[in-house]
Amino acid sequence: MPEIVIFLLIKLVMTIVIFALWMTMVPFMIWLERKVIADIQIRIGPNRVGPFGLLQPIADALKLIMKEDITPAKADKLIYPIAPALLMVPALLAIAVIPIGGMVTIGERSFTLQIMGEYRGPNGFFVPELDAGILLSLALSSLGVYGVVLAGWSSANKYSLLGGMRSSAQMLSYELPLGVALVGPLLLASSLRLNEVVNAQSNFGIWFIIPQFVGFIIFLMSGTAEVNRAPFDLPEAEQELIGGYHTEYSSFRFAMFFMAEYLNMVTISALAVTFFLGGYRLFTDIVWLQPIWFALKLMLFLYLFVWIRGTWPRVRYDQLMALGWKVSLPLALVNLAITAIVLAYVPKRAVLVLTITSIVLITIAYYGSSYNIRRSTDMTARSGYARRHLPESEETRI
Amino acid sequence: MIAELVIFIILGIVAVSSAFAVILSKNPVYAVLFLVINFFALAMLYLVLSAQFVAFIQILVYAGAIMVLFLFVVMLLNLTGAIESLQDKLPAQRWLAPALGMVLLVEIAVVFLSGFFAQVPEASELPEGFGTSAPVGMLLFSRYVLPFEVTSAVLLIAMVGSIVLAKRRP
Amino acid sequence: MANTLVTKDLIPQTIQDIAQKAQTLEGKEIHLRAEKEAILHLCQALRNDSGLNYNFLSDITAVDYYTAESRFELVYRMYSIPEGRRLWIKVPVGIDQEVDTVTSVWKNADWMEREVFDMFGIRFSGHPDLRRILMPANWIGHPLRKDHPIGSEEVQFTVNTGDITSQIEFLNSRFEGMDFFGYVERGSELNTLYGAEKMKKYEEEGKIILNMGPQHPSTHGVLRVILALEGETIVDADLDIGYLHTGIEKQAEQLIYQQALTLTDRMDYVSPLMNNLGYSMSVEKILGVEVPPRGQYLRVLLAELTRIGSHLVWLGTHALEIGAVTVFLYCFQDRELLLDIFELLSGQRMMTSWINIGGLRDDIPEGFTHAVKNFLEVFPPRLKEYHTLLTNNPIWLKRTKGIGYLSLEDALDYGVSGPILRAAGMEFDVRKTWPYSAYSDFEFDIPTGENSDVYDRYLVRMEEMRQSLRIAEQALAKLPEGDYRIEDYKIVLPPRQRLDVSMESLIHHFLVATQGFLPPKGDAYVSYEGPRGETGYYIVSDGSGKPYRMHMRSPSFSALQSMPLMVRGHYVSDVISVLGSVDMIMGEVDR
Repeated sequence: MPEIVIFLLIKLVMTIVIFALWMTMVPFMIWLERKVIADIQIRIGPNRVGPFGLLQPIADALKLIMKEDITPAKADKLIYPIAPALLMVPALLAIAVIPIGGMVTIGERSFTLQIMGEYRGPNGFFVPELDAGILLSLALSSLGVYGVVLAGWSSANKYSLLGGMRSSAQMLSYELPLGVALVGPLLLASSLRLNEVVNAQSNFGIWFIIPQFVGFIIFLMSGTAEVNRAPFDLPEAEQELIGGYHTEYSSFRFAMFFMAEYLNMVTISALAVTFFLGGYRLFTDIVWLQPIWFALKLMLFLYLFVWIRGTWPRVRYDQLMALGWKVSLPLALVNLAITAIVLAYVPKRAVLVLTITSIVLITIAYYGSSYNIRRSTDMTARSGYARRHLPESEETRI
Repeated sequence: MIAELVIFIILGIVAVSSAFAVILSKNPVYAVLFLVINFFALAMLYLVLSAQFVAFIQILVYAGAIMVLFLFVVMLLNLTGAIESLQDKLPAQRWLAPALGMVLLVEIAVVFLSGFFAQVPEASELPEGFGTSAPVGMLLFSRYVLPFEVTSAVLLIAMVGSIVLAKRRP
Repeated sequence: MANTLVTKDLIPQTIQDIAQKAQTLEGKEIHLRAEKEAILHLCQALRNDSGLNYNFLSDITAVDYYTAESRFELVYRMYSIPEGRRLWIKVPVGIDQEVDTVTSVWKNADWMEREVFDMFGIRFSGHPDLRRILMPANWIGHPLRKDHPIGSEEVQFTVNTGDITSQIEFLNSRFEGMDFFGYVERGSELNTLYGAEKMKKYEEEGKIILNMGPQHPSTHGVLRVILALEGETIVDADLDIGYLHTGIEKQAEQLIYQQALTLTDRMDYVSPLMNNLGYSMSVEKILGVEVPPRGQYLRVLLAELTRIGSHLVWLGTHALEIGAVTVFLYCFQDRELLLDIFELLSGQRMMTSWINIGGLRDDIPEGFTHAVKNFLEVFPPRLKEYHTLLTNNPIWLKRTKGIGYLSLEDALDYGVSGPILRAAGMEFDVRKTWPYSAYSDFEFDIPTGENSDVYDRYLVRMEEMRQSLRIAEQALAKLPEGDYRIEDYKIVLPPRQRLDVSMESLIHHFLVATQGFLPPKGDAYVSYEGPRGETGYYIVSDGSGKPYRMHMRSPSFSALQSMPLMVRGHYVSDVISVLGSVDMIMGEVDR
């Protein structure tokens, strides 16, 4: 058998396995979200279908598939049906570049646990890791916008269109800080290959969350906005826009929107793990344990998403955009500039210097934003800021 | 190399036919979508040429960002009605466009016939890491640093200008 | 003075009279009767006289004395705040007579006069927008007139299909000609449809008209808000209410007093016990009976628990609409404790009808004190948790601070009361100004805000919950022994065990349960501080066992009118915050 066939076979198996794992993440994530949110809200959550309600997402999916697929009479006949797929496919493809484990060696062949990863065969057969993997991932996530915009437009519904517009504007605005925030770790790793970012973190002996704390915060914020999660879930702001871009969808097409949202969430979490939490590496270098480490770190982020949703109210649209353009992007750019300067002039003590500047920057940003909140809310209250005349009590002085 | 040729032909057909569809489709939203397909075909062609970086940037910037903005404009203005009024406003364009197109065609033909492409050397073995981000970045910041910076300045000026124009309106 | 009819010429003298009285008998109610020609000038004088300053229009309603010479009697009720003086003006109006509108004096007269027009057909000349408000636009007749036919929508059976079909066709034909906004052209007589015209004008100017509701998740029931938008900024808003109109005021006229009490539960359905309290107090005032202290204390206790329950619903939904889903569930869990207490009392969770004419329906059961104590212990930490979740949350601050500003002058002009008025800085609380029940025995503070925005209303209500807890604690600690209701068995049912031994009790029981009691002729209005502001029941008795007229003064009805003022210049998302801060209950607005 020629080596190329073996290569393709191995990649095929890996792709199927990773895709399958990723797709299982969706029902698991739905279950996790419902359970955790229920726990936060002192409820029980799903507990009827299967042990601990584990089969609940499957029951939900079945229910959705069984439902009638409704197309509004005035909807665009061509675009309306394919819009959910346009959102779903990029969400799925983005995982191709994320490494979930290091180099595995079987006999003469060795490869990384990454669909578009490195492969070494006998007789010098060598396929390198996809260069600029992060660019592919970002490109794909930017394509997801089409699904949202077109779903909103093709539904022929004012609220849907408004929701579609909102979320696409949101996704476009937050892609910039998201990308820029990732450049810091990329500079530290001096490579665009995700596997090398992971290796660089173990070489430095420190996760990039420490020297790139500002980048991490911006990434987390922009990532949340990018996947339209609370507190940035405006496009789906039920209380304002009924349901946003997927108002008119039902049945499996609605399920696809649902799945795409969760897949995006998993992808963003996976990127965060890879870039800031040392990827698949933890304690030991036993290769078969690495996917488990990766999964554990991933859970951490998924939990964080749910936790945020359970705690915070929703921001307003103009506030969201202001946050993106006036806070996140400048901050990300400053962080990038600092990182570049530090790496150029003090490359040996880069981690230490960057950690200190991170702390300084985040402190400034924190006090700046709280000052900004106080100032802007004072100014809008027309009677001016004054102490409230509430009866003195410990509760009111919290 | 046959496989490469087949892929090239398929992508070429997709690119050309989607380009035609852009100008032929009545619905402006469809036109925008066909343009996106066209950009994809182009990106794939870059990939076939081993230019990964350019391919990804093509998708990221053109398909992912710029065309979405186009789509925005089309949807917000609801151009189906506006096109007819535009035609009335710019009657000269109807005749100017084919003429300018012909000029372009002649130009291309002249370039082809002049034997410019004969000077291109035969493709040899590609250097290590061709088309990846590192060499592209090296080139951008060394040999082409002036065009690169000029482009960024032009873009910045355009951005500031558009904001100024947009702000002027009450 | 109550019996002389104030004419135009008598106005200056009347004003002097009232000014004199105001100095001597502060807080006392003054009753006037005025000629319909004089009403506008009288109101203007009362409002503008700096010494009197009747700046708050509580209510305008009417009674149909259909056998009287001038058939209707308009009842205006106004207060001077913060002095707390009350004034009633009754104006006899004949059928087919027009009355000058007082919308130029108090802005909230707008909807009130519309309601009177809708229900009684009394026209107000000069009213900017006189059209139906609660009834459907195509309704024929004025339902609260005594001669309006009651009941009987025909039920469809196979035998009468033909008749019904023709009826449906007839109804359908009446819906024809409805325009986009759902207002119906009412022929030549009332063609100046202010609200509709206004919105049409905006549409012609190129503004986007967005219809929120009546089926919208955050309009608290069925409120329809029509927004004129410039981009996402609100230029103006128009409200359409009446989707939840259940005709309770008309129904009450068909029931004996005790039965009508059960209807009051359904008005402000998140604070049913308070409604019971207000109604009972009004009826007791006509009857001239005094509830014993134990009953009074229990009433206060229950009312304050109800207030907490109502505020919990407000906090939950308000937070939910701004996106804090968890707070919503927390609030409903805490409210569950309260509902459990009510269930312990009555076996009912919401429509308890437990506060009754003459006291309470029954004494507190075993375990009640324990349950309340448990709640009083559990709730303060929870309240603290709400503060932790929201009060300093930057997103919450951004969404609520500076939003929905309503100046104190506007608030008074629109008859806004309760937490919204207090958030504007006015320390007005019926419990303090005109103490009712046993409130004068309790120590509590009235929280006020200063910025009059959504955030201040939030803080005020949060603090009110704490103050309610204080009152409840005191009520429980000081709960006196004794009777929980009056001993007059002509009004309240005799105890069950007496029926077995006493023939007299049996007769009383029979009479009270069938024909009810017969109060003397007269009318009464007692206001109380509901969770949403000054609420009260106006009851007219003609000496029979059924109320001749029952009217509820709804605080949200007034407050909602000021909503367009609060949202102007804000974004669509802010409408939701503002609606949440108004905390209206449509059951009470539409009644």
